[in-house]
Amino acid sequence: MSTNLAPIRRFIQPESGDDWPAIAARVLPDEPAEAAIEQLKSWNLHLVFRPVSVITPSDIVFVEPPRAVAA
Amino acid sequence: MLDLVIRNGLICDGSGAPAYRGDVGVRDGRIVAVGEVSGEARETVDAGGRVIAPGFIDPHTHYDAQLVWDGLAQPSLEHGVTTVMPGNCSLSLAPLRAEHRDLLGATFRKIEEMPKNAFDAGLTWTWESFADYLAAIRAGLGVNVAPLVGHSLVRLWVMGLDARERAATDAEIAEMQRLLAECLDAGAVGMSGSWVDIDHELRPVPARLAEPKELDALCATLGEKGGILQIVPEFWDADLLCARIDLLADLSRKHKIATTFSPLFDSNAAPELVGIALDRVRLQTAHGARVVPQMQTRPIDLSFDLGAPMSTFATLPGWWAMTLLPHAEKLVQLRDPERRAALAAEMDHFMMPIGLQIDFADSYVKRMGTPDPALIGRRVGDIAAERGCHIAEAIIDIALADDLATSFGLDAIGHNDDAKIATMLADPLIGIGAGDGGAHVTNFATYGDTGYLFSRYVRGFDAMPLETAVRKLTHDVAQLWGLRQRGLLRPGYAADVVVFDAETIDRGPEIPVEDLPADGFRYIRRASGVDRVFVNGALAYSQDAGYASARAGVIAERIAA
Repeated sequence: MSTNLAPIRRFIQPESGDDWPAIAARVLPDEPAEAAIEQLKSWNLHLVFRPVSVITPSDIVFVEPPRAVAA
Repeated sequence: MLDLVIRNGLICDGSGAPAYRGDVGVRDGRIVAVGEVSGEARETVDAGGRVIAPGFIDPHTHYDAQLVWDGLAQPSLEHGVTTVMPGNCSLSLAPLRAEHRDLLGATFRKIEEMPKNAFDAGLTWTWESFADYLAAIRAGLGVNVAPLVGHSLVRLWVMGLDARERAATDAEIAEMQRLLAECLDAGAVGMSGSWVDIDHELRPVPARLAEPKELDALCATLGEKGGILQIVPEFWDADLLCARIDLLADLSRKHKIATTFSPLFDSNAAPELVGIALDRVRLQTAHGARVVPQMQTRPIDLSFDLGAPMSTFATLPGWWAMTLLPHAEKLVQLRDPERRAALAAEMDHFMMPIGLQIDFADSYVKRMGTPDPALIGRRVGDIAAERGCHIAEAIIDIALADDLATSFGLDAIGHNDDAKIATMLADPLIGIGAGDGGAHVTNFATYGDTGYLFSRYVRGFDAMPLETAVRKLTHDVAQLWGLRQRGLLRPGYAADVVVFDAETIDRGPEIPVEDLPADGFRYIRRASGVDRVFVNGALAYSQDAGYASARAGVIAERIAA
């Protein structure tokens, strides 16, 4: 991420071989495993609804929900 | 004595400065005088009433294959394009080991939508290294080529088939850096990548298997050598695109490289996206990064047929799988009631993967193997209503009756809000590119973005002055991509020159032609209002005589770091 600029929405990039449980355990360690995975997936539908479901090391994984759109 | 003088034109020199009446003198392929040029010349061209401008530069093409059999990059040249950049989106045709040709060919054809027959008939693979690929195309070049090397190719060369499966080791990354440096020394102007593309098996292209440290290392090499990074991000989602802009900005600042992503396009599916992305680019630019979005000037058109797999079906797995079947089996499946019902149900839940809102009911019968006047040009939704059937069944039945040769069109389904596009085009942060020449050849005609810029947005919507439009197609591109002495009408610069009529330059209608190898079919657009095109001082095209026999194109030189 940028050194000086806050991101629009916080994200990480997966480590090689990462799957949903591994990422969830790392970024949401205080949540129950299943809930953390579901939470993470709900923030990252671009990874869930892929023709072939794989997570690559170059992907963006958001670790927070979308910001509310200003009215 | 001069070789050539072009007299009495309106000189738009590419800098954006006000145009003025004058002449351009050329000797030995270089511009030697601009303004009032005295002395004799072997050839004199009267450009009275016409604009004299630097040749246009198209930074986003996939001419890698076509350049092997057509060094003129037709029809881009007749639109005034004198320099093309192939090798975008992580895919070039070199460096490539012989044993990976079939794999890369299938990937290239799927992503860039090229027919296999033409690809196979037109390509005589005489190279493995990047230098040898350039040697293979160099002799026949009528345009200049500023090639990118594809990150996916670099991975495939170093890692073999593991490039499709895993991250690289530190030793493999070091070897990739060495190979990239070799390609840059051979003539590449940079490296291309992709964060989105999927291959013919719907798997991520090799570039996407790279860990951030791999891309970082390759950008370090680009920084050492002075090359650009081009990449395709998730351009349909504002949050994802902003994250990618941040990553590119970090790479740009850290390695002192220029980066560019393509495309940036406007769609009703995400009307706020362009504004959000541009705010982010503006912020990162203010913090010292070079992240330049590229946009196309034309609206988004798509086509599809049932004869071959097409990206339109990438999020319809049943349709995708069906298009992969052998022809005879496909006919059987498309006649099977259960299969037809399943395909119809799937279409009801269709979600276009690239942020476009499309409705297959709005598709129309674009082209047929055996034309049926009762169907050509008609909206599929209307045909389905008449027949009392599902849209999917109408598409299937029309195609079946035509032995699957029917092509269906979906025109102007995005990037077609003229007021927004005009504003985007005029934005100094945005470059013009994403033309895609040489790709999607059986789907739609990508050619003529240059003429369309002048006809639609300079003359039609007054979005920018003529001089700015010329600058955006010439000097801005040359500067971003680090092309040595191209993009301006200045003494010492390459004599890439286009003479055109500012009142009539335009793209023509989309037309089908069969000019690919093996009588392959594609869609193109002819140019209008382009009088003459000179490449390195040699006449390459004239409106009166068509394409000339000169082959004066070169591998365009990059400004080294």
